[in-house]
Amino acid sequence: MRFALVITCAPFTHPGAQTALRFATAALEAGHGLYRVFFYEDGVHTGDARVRSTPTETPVPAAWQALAREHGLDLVLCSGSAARRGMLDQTESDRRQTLGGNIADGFALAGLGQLLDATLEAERVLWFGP
Amino acid sequence: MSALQIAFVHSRGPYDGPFAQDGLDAAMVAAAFDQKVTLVFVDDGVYQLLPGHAPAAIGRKRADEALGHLGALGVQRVLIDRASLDLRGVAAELLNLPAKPMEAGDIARFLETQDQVFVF
Repeated sequence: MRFALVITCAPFTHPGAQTALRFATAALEAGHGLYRVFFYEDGVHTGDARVRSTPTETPVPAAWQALAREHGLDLVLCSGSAARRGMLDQTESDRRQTLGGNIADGFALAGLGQLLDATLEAERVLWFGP
Repeated sequence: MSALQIAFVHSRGPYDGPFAQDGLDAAMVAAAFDQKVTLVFVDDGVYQLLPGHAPAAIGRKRADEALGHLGALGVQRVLIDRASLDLRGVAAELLNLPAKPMEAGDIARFLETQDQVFVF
């Protein structure tokens, strides 16, 4: 089965963030495919390079990066949601002459078209969030 | 690939977080991708269809702007939950979109026919 995931909750505020990560891990272990993970609304905080977890928490962003490295996942942050939350890539940061990009390695900014593309290409689209 | 049938279920008030705006944006993108888009308004989502939004008072942009462009984008079908209207004392004649209120069971049966259902 080829899945796409849409994650709408921040990494440390809602159990959906952990559930999505565990689902993705289990699905990949079971031999399923992940066409794309689309981080939407508060979900984009997952790709903020400045987010830090405490030692007792699962580091959700780092876990996604590791999973993406291992399986070549397409981790996409909604660019509109990200802009509203102060998240810029280096190019946009330079253009606005701000302090620097804060998109974590392994994540990419893109528009809602990528959500629709995932809807068309995946066999199942699962949403995780509040 | 043939077009998918995608229902966008709007269940929140127009300024209750980003959901009303995000749902309409996503529906418009789907329509622009030539998918068969249906909008479904339930619970507080029916408030999105009332006229006279004045969100400047709370520093927001209008959440219903996209509703005026739905026809141009080919969004033909809009379903409204009758019970949600009745519970809130909202008369269907007041709404911005000329859609006939439906019973919840009929909406549920409709959603079962869809390829994807996105809830905002």
